[in-house]
Amino acid sequence: MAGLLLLMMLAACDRAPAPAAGVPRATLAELGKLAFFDPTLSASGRQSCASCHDPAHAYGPPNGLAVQMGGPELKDAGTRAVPSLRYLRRTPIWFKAMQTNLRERLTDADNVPTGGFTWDGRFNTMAEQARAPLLAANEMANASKAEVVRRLAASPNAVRFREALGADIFQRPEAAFAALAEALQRFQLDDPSFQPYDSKFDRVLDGHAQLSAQEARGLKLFSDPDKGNCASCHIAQPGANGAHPLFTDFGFQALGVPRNAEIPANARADYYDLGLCGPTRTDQSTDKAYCGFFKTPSLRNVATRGAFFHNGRFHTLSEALRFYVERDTAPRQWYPHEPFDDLPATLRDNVNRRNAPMTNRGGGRPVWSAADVRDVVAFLGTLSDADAAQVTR
Amino acid sequence: MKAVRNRKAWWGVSGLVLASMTALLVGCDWSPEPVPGPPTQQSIKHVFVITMENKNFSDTFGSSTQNPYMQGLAKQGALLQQYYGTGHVSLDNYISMMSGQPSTAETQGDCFAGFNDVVSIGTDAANPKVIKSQGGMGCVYPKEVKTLGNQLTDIGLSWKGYMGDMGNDPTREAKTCGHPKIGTIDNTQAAQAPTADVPLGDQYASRHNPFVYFHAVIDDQAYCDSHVVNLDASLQNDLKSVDTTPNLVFITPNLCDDGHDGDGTGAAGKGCVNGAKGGLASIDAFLAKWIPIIQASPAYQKDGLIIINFDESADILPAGQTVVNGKATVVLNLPGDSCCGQQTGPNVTRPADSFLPVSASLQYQLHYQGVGGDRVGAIMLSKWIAPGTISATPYNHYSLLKSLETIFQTNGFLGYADYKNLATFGADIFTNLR
Repeated sequence: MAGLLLLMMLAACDRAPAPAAGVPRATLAELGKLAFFDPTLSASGRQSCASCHDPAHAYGPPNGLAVQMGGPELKDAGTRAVPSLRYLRRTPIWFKAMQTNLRERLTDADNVPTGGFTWDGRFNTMAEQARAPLLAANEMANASKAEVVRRLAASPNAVRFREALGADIFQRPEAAFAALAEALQRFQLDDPSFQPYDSKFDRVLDGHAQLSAQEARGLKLFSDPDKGNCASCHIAQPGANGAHPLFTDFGFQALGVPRNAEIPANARADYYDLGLCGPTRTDQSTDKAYCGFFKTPSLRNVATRGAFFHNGRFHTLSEALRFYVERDTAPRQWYPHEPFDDLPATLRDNVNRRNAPMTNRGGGRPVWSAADVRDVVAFLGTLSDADAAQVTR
Repeated sequence: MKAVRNRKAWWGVSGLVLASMTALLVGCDWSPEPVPGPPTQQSIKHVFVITMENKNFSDTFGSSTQNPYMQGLAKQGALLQQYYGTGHVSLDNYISMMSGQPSTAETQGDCFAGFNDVVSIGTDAANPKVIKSQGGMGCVYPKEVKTLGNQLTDIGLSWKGYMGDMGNDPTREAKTCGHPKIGTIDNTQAAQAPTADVPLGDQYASRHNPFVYFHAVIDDQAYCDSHVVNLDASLQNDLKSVDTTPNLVFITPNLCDDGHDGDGTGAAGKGCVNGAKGGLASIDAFLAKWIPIIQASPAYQKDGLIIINFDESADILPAGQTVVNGKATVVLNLPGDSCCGQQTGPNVTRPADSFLPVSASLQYQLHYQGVGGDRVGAIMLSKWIAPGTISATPYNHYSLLKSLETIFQTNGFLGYADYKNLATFGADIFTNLR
């Protein structure tokens, strides 16, 4: 029965429940697009979805800030780097596989939680995710769903919403808010701008381009299990039907990224962003084994970004790559006091030290040289979509 | 001499009569029904094997309250109380069932490191049909290693593997003959939860599909595509007539329906990716759906046999904690009980230890004691098996293979099924055969 209910829910996600039921998909996507770019839906009146998810930057942030500013006066900082909204369509709902067999549970250490939207996977659908920024105090900062609907009713797009959803739609705030979320989801699912697959790497896969020698070396270093081993999580091989890879397995990992003083919330010594464990996500807080775990993002368009990892700790791609291969060989250059300083001491054992290259211990030689890092950066540059502009800091 | 001459004369006359009758009969397009002899095991023409995952005999047929339908099924036919798996953790069991090949260092770990070829460097000293692989490694057997499916094809019989969920997500694996490319990581090791494009999710696991681990099957794409198919898309249609039902039907449910995932309680966080309970509860639901469908099929009713087994047990015995190289080390004993003279084979050793790092300060020491897959039990159903039959004869997956080869009268026995002391299913099970 539970399975049936879940299927019904998921089917509903794709077909849009009441009040959007019966609204043509194209119309719903059109409404979503209008709302996505509408700053009047925010308390500040100056922030739309597109402010942080800029289509010119692959629906990622338009700047290199670690976190973006929001709130009524645009003075309230976020707590995590803004992810790109591109290539999310194939994201599974959040799940942690639970094997019946105790031995498999104990030994299947790589079978980590998977899926869901945002860095902690707390939303199973894009519609659920789309609701959150509208109501978050440090983002669009509406006090309630009703407030969002009031702003929508007063927006230039209100006429189109009434035409599509009924003249009385704004008299039904719950339904209107749900329809808004469904519309935003439909836009992201159906608009081709969210999955253009037109990077150089895509053209290479289609036989229309070739990697340069440096890019090819970078791909090899990226994929080699004894070198970067990046492809073990950032899947680089095409799907069984030739589908171009997304460079993520949607899994969660604790990488031990250093604490970022650029995030105002980190000024409090007792504040830790523990990903799956909270404080933003609340339903997995009792499972301490996954504290510090964040979702593996797609690497498509990563080279256009100016902030890397969940806390935006690094601002250049080379620095982010060096962190992977030198975290354990030279920890002092990454952590001023002690390793894994963005986790409480009691939870630092959760940090991944099992998978290469994070198995290389102090004093060891990094698996990549400086030249190797440049090669991998060159390869990652081939994952940028044709229209994705480089962020300047 | 006279008698001979007379006999010749009689044959001469009767030969004329016979020739005339034959001509008459051919003209009428009619041939006499062969006089049926008493049924034997070879009267079985359709075998349906359904393999479930990771359960102990004592749970499945003892303490569990999650599988009342299955426990009832055991009373409709034979319960094989001493049926054993042949390895841990999954894949090596399926491979032994369908080819007689024993564990390699990779198949005993489900080929987690990649879908890699077995490189043959010889054979087992005691059995030239068992491949000795380079370094004991490898997953996919070279073309000369045959499966039961190949054997059936060779003698003009039909077979199909029906795989739950295979191809649900076409980016994950193909709808037919789904498997990773040689040398790549198997991305079906964990179930895939539902997505916007694949609302059912995809819980197919290559490692539970024995046929794709043999070049003798996968190298001929058309052959593989027509023999290794999606369960829901194919089985009910194939069961409509005797002619369309393969002689061997091998069914692998998805990772939830075979009980691999979920604990069957329905508790939050303890189920399958599709929200079902998993464990013995989902096994029970799967059997409650499919067994009546199979039993209603013309092929089963005419001459069918259903075998429900498990790949391996879930036996694990915590054996304390120690410190190895400064790391806290939890020792876990894997009994690996076996029967029937099971050989370890040339590619792994027993006892053996492997160390699995969990974190910087903790690791598991898996102490493999025996080579078997422990006691799992099995159910067999057929009109030639009296309800309530209980067999205490030890059998394992190699026995299953040898028994199927005996039923279908294949050309010889494969791998470790070719062991003279290995018992095949006998009168202890087929209690309605006289």
